[in-house]
Amino acid sequence: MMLHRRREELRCKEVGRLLQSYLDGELDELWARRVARHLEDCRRCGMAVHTYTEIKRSLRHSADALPEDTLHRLRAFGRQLAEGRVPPGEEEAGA
Amino acid sequence: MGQPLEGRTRQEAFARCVLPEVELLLRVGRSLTRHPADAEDLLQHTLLRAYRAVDRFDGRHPRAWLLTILHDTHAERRQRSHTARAAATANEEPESVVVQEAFDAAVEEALGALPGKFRTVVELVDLDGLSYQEVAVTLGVPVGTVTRRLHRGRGRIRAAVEAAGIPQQKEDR
Repeated sequence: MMLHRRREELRCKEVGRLLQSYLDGELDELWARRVARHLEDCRRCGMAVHTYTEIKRSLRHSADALPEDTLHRLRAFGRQLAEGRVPPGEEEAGA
Repeated sequence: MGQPLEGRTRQEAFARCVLPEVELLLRVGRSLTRHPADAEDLLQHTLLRAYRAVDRFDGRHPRAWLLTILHDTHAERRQRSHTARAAATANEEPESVVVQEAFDAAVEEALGALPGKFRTVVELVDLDGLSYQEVAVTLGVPVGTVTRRLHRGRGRIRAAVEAAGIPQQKEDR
């Protein structure tokens, strides 16, 4: 019984190893459910989740907007290539 | 696909597979080079290589294919010249005692202080939105390495934020 229970429930150390993957949606459903179950009952791991979630939010918020002029130039360059207009000196085909 | 492309077909494949990914490639390029001018240069070379190679591309997983080209191009360029790291963006926010801004500033500072390998992975996942597999392709490392570096990178950010003693906002979703 206890062995069976241990298989089902994760410990904090195991959750710690899986936490980043869990937060990024990189775990499969089974492991994600196990982590989620642990987080429901574990205050310490729950606080860690909250901190990491805030860090991710902060990083996402700080992502610089791409410079429009750079993006415009690169898209124009890409369209040029798509039209077969390769810059002089770059026409050679790949190996 | 997988058959040699010629003329317009090559161009059509390039337009279909590559052009939609330019923005993402630029984001990743900025994370890799950490300098805007270098990122644009890297992207131009990447697009050229992609154009030359698109006739050998089977059409599946264009993003992964392009990230591989980006990685290879970046690796070659690094061997030729050393790219200066951009300093962490100066925080121009006014003096503010708002907890959220203090938290954001601490996170940004901690990110800037990370060793390059950790910082790059954190940026690719959290700023550029890449999956672990895409990061692995971009950096030419196994997924396990990505996971490990991410774990350590975010762990250091967390430690720095907690050491700064900044209270966190309550969850109010």
